[in-house]
Parts: sequence; structure tokens; C-alpha cells
Amino acid sequence: MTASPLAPPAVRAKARPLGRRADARSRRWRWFAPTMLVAVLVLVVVSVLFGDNFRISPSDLLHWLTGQSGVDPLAKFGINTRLPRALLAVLVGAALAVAGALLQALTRNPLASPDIIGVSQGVVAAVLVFSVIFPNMPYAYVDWIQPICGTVGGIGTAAVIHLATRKLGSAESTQFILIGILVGGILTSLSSLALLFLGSDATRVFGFMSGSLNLKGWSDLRLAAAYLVPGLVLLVLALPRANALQLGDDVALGLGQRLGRDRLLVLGASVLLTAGAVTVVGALSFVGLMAPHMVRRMVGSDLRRLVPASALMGAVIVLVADLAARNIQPQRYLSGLGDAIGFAYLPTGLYLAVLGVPFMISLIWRRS
Amino acid sequence: MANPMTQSDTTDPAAAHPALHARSVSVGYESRTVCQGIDLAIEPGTVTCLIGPNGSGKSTFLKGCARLLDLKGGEVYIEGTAMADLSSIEVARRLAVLPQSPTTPPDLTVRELVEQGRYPHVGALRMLRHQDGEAVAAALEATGMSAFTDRDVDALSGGERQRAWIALALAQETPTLFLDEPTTYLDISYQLEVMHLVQELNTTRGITIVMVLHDLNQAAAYSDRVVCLRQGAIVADGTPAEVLTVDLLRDVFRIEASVIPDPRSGKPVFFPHQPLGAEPNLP
Amino acid sequence: MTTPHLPATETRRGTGRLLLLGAAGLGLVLVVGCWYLLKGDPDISLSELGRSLFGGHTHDNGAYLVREVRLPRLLLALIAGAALGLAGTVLQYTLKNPIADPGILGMSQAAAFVVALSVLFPGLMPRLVLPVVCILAGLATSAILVVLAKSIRDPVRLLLVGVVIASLGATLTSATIVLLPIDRAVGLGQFFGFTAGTVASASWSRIGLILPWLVVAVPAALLSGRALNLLQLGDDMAIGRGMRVTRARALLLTCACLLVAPVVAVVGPISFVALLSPHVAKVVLRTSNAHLVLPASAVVGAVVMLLADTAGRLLFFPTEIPAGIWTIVVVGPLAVVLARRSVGRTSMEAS
Repeated sequence: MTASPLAPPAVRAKARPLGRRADARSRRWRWFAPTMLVAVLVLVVVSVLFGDNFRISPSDLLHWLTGQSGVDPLAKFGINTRLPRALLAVLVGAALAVAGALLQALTRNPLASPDIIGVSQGVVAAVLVFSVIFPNMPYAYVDWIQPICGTVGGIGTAAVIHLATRKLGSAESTQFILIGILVGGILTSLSSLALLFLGSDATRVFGFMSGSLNLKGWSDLRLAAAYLVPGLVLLVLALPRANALQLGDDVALGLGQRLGRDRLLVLGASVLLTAGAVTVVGALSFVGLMAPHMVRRMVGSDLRRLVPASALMGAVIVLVADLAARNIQPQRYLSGLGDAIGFAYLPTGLYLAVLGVPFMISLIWRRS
Repeated sequence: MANPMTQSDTTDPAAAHPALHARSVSVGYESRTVCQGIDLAIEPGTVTCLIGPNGSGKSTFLKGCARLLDLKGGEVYIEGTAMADLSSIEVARRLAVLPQSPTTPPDLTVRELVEQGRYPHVGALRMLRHQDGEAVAAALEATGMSAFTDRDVDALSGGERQRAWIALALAQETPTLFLDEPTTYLDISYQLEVMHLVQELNTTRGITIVMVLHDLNQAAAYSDRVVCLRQGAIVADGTPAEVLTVDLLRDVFRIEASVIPDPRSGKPVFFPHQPLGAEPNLP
Repeated sequence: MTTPHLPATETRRGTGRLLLLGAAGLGLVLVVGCWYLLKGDPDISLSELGRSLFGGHTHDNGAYLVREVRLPRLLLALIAGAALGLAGTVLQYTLKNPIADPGILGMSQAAAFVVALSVLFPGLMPRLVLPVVCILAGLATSAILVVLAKSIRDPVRLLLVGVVIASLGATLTSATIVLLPIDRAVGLGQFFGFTAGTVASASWSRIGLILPWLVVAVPAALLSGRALNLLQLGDDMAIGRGMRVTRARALLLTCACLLVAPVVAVVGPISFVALLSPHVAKVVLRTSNAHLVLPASAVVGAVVMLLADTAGRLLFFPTEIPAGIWTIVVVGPLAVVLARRSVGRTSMEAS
């Protein structure tokens, strides 16, 4: 048994190098990814063509896209309102879904997501508190101060939770989630307090708290895109590290990871992606939870595939919810209550909640 | 008790340094120090086993040497270089660790798991691509897991799963491998499967093995050298026959037992007879 | 984990501390309560106070103020706080989760949604019926938790179900308000004050509304010590000792509902008092024995509510801040600090 000490494996068995992957998962990926991409595109087009009581004809859309003149002005107006909103839905859905996937890998708990651990609520609370303290800011300022506020709120929340759980022992992930839930509860209550001061703007505030894409246009889309860039950069750095972290602390250490720094990196990526999305549209819940779960069976837990798959699924989920939000007029269905219902569309977040609650309960139930 | 420490004046520079040398290592957890001032040198190409009762510090010591725990005192040298002078990734290129009872995330294939072992050689950014190189394939082949490449890890049997984790460690292509209780919680046939694999890795590839084992007979059967710990200190160190004596079993493990040679291999095997109760006065 | 059968000395010491806590609480209530009754707009003198309380039929303004406005408000704060404190203990022990709280589990949100409906559609239900419907809403959420608790052993997962329900409740409330036509928005300001949680609109009739429920629920909660201690050991252990776990859990959660829902119906969703009280009680008593923690958390809850409302009414005089704001801003973070330790232990057990 005491063979002579050899240098690092001089003997490598003549193994065939792993060729083009013929395994089931790679095969599935090859049709899954393009299918999802097509689904997103189709949903975006449908979102533009339908909504708000009038339809746009596909030919009008085609003319608009190819830059031809002579497009019906109503159609042009419609496209300019709906297209940025649909694209925003894609961005936001993707960002929140990826943030959720990262958190689930980091905490090694499939039930983690930015809205459950309080980061989304932190962003919302920061924005609302700012609106309360500075109620009469000129719109120009609000445009760029507000997202900064929200991002600071999100980062601050994550920092508080991280610091509170850092020294609590080895079972860190569960504590992280529990403290996150508690902090999230505090922040939600704080946000509802804002209603006391912003009561006249109730619809907007509620919309923001549940997540709404109402009245979002090209400038909001640009804003979201800009704020998601740092998140994307961190994502590239964080992804391989999160992959190792989800194998366990000891394994990750053994592979040469620096636990503290890498955990912060993954958390930071998740927070920045969340903040970039939530600060523009509000706290859309359940996307970060649902999307990774729906695709995990298909593509596996390896983040190299899970992240892009979740992004696509997240986009689909938010697009569907937004489609519902824009086309369902509650007043029509609840007309029994007479004129008790006003002319309003419900925020997208509500439809997400309606989808998400039974999904999540069944998920929690099944996994036990 | 023989203490196989090579003299540092041989001609072969590679053999001059022990694969691992712990000098006065003290390691523990936040509130308490478990091991105090342990000195241990591991020769390259050997299989060393750490044994001891619960709480003796064997796993803690192993983790300290593997830099999974911060040292409270002393230094660890890996192939002659102080670990403190190396970055964590550089250490990972020389030392692979299989921790105790690793948990697998669901929906991860064996291939995806083993690929992670390339991290120290390839670096974070390149890990974004799929690792299809020889090292991963070789690791799978060496552990007999090539047929399971695309199966989910949590769908495997206990023995197969452990072999997949060993393949991960092998993909790191390190000359030294630490294993922390690799057979605990496994069915007996899987335990033997794993131990045979470990033995083969040592004989055919010359990988230095240091492992913590709970089962004393396995320790005797599969190692060149046994180191016994009690209460954070080494109390015995030598070949299995030298260490696993009736006296040690009585003093350290508190059992009355007989030791006889295995009819096939000649290694010592012990038969427990009865417990002796706690020791009257411990220092 | 503390067993139900503590050595005699421990129980005696715990009881001793409980009595001390009770005495301290009573003292605090009397002192702060007096000040509460005296101060305000306008201040009244001590002699006026004495006359109003004990004097008989005096009809001056001071007496009216005390009897019809401040005293009921004081009592409502104490009662609500005690009920919430008890509910917190019951929830945390029953669900084996140190951050269980009616607000986190969705009970408050369900009840608040019912109130939203009644405020915004005034003809919808008579006032007497309101606590009943709130209780029913709360029971609905508890029922889900009870059913799922059979198969979900992990306390964290069970809590997450509550979190999900809470967010659904909040979303439904938002939806109701968003759908409101503009002319109906008059009641909105009042509703938002209610959402923060306030005892400001207290009156004897309101106290009367919740008293019947509490008369049943409070003794039930105080007597549930043994069941709570057993459940803390884990479902398997409890079954082993002859307990019908699911039935016990259903009864206990119903009891918590009866404590919380009427309070929410009258006072609004007060956050975190229920969460904090058991933790403070455990720190003061230095024991987890439910027999002792239950009354202690009632005392703590009552004191906290009193302090919150006193601060709300008098700290920034003459502006009035709803008590709920203080509970969110002060009690919430306090709860995080205190719950940290227990959170660490929970996760070790669950994993």
C-alpha cells in the first residue's frame, strides 16, 4: 500500500473525454431554452396587441417596427404604452427569478426568495418613507433619487439580516430566512404606515406595495435596465461561486472558496437584481420563488442552466400576470355590486399572488 | 511506537517534505479549544487513519489541517509550504477534502457535481462553461461512476453517492485526499465499496490518504498507519498492529476486547466483550 | 428543552419571578395609567380624577372625559395587549416557531381584510357581527395551518405557509381599496388610521364587543400550559405521552384566533406585541415553562400596549400617533434582537 509518492495523478486512466452531451438533461435543454424564448416573444406581441379595451392589428405593429409611416395614431399610442410595459415585465420577471434562484442556492433552502426574506419589502419601504419625508419633490428629482433610495433600502435590509445572523452558528440558512421573514414583516408594516401620510395617493401606494406595471413607459424601462446592469455584472461573478456554495460550506471551502466574501457576492448579486426591479415596479411577490421551482425539474439545480431558465420562466410568469391585469376589468364581473366598484385595474401583483399562493402552499406541502 | 517521519536530507526533493505536517496545531470552535498542540507528519503515498472516541477531536483536527476551521495555534505545512502562505485555491490544488455527510442539492447530476471539482484549477469565470475535460472523465472512471454520469445524485444508493463525492474530490487532481468519516451511515456493503475504492486510489495512483474512521476494524484493515486521539491529544501512533492493542481498547475506548490477526490479511481485528464504564478520574 | 416536569426549586423560583413581574407590571400600570388619565387635552387634576372614578354621579367635563373617553381607552389597551401577549405565546409554542405572530401568520391580515370590506361597504354587516366574521376569517387561516401541520414537520415551512397567507390577505385588502370609487374614498382616511392599529376610538361599547370572546379565550389560554409544554417537545414525544396532537393544535389555534380576531376587529392589526411578549417573559422569568410564560406574556403585552398608546397620545402632544406605529417602529426591532437567540436554536432542531 505504500506506493512510491507520485506527482499529481501521473496515471490517468484512458477515459474517453465526455463528448457532446447526449444525456437527457442536455437534450431537454436544447428544446426547452428556445421554446421559452419563443414563448416570451409571443407573449410580448400578444401583450401589445391586446388590452385597454382596444386591439391593435398585427399589421400596424409590423409597420411600426419596420419604421414605416402611415401607422394609425391610436395604434402608435397603444404600442408606445404597451410595448415598454411588456418589455419591462420581461426584465423585471427575469431579474426577480434569477435573484430567487441565487438565494435558494445561497441558503440551500428551496423556499427562499427576495420577497420572503424581506429585501423587496425593504426597497418598497425605503421608497415610501422617502415619499413621505419629501412629499413635494419635483418629478425630475424623483426620477433618479427614488431608485437610489430603493436600492439603498434593499442593500440595507440585506445587510441587517446578514449581520443579525452571521454569528448564530452553523445552521445559518434557516436563521437567515426566519430573521428575513421577521424583518420583512416589520418593513411591510412600515410601508402601510406610509398610507397614513400618502392616503390621497392610495392607489399608487398600494400598487407599489403589491407590484404594478401601470403607467410604466419607456423611461421606466430605461431606468430598470440601467439599474439592473450592476446586478448583471455581479451575477456573472456570483454564479460559479453560488454553484459551489450550494454543495455545502465545507465542500465550498475545500474547493478553495472564501466563504465570507463569496456569500456576500451572491447575496449582493441577488439584492441588486431585486432592487433594480422592485424600485421601478414595486414588490412583485412569488416570481423569485415560482420560476426556479417550475424549471428545476427540467434543467436541474446547476445554476449555469437554472439561472437562464429561471430568467425566461420569470419573464413568462410576469407577462402572463400583466396580461391578465391589463385585460381583466373587475368592474365588469363584479357589476352585481352596482356602482360600488370604481374604474380601476387591479395591480399585477394581485394576479401574481392569486397564482402564487396556491402554488407555494402546494410546494411547501409536497416537499415535506 | 514508530513515528515514521522522513529525515529531510534525502536526495529526492519531492520526498523530502511530508505530504502534510502539522506543527503544534491547536484547533477548536469559538468557545472552546478541542485539540492542543498536536504534532503530526503524514508521509506521501501512505494511508493514515485517525481514530478516537467521540469528542476526541479527530474530525476537528482533520478540519483544522484542511483549513476548514481556523487554527487557534500552530502551523500546517502542505508539501513543505506553510498553508498560511498559500491562498485557499492554491491549497485546494494540493488537498481535496470529503466532509462528513455531505448534502446534495436535488436535481443535480453526477457529472454536474464532479465538474465542481475543477474550480481550483480553472477559476470562477471559466467555471461558467461546462467542464468536459479529461480530469472529470478520469475521476468518474476511477470511481466506477462513468455509467452514472447523467443520473441525479440523490437518486443513487448510499455507496454510489459517496463514490460520486469522491469523484468530485478526485477531479481536483490533488496528491492528497482527506476523508471525514466516509463510511458512517452507509450499509455495510457500501462501506466496503468505499474503503476498497480508497485503497485502490492509494495503490494505483499514489494518492496520500488521511481519513477519520469510526470503525476500528476498518481502520486496521485499510491503513498503513493509525493515529489515536483522546481529548484532543495523540495517545498512540503507529501501524495498526502496534496501536490496536487490548490495552488501548481498554484505556481509550473503555471496552474489554480481544485482538486477533485476520486470517486473510494478517491485520489485527478486535472482538469487543464488554463495556468498562467511564474512567474513574480523567485529567 | 425544558420538560413539563421541572424540579421543584426551579418552578418555585420561576413562580417567584412571575409574581415579581406581576407586581412590577401592576405598579407600572397604576403609575402610567394614572398619568395617562390625567394628561391630555385638557389636563385634569388628581382630585377630579378621584371624583370621576369613585365619586358617583358627577356630570362635569372632567368626569366625562375620564369615564367615557380615557378610561375605556386605557382598559382597551390593557386588554388588547394582554390578549395579544397570550396569543403570541400560544402560537409560538403550538407551532414551535419563535417568530410566530398573528401578523406573520396571516391571522391579522385576514381579520383586517374583513374590516376593510365592512368599512368600505358600510351596509355590508352590522357592527355586532363584525368580530364574528373576523374570527371566521382568522379561523380559516388557522385551519389551513392545522391541516398542513400534520404533514409539515419543519416549523420554518409551516411559518412560510402563514407568510404566504398573510401576503394574500394584504393583497386582497389592497385590491379592495384600489377598486373603491372615488366618492367612497371618504372613509379611507379613517381606515388607514385603523390599519396602523389604534385604540383611539375606544368606547365601552367596543370593549363590550370583544369581552365575550375574551372571557372564553383568556382562561382557555391560561390553562393550556400543559399542552403547550408537551407540544414543545415535538409531535412524536407528545403523541407518546398520550396527546391527540392535531386536535390539540386545532383547539389551541382556535383559542389564539379568539384572542386575536376580536382585538383586530376593534383596534386594528397591532404588529409584534404578540411576538415580543413571550420572549420578554422568557428573559425575565428565565424559564420556558408555558405555565409561567403565559400569564407573564399577558402582563408584558398589556404593559407594552399601554406604553405604546401613552407614547402615541402624549409624547408628541398635541399630535396623536397611533399606538400601532410605536409597535412597528420600536417593538419590531426589539423583537428581532430578542428572537435572534431562539431562532438559532430552532434551526438546529429543524435541520
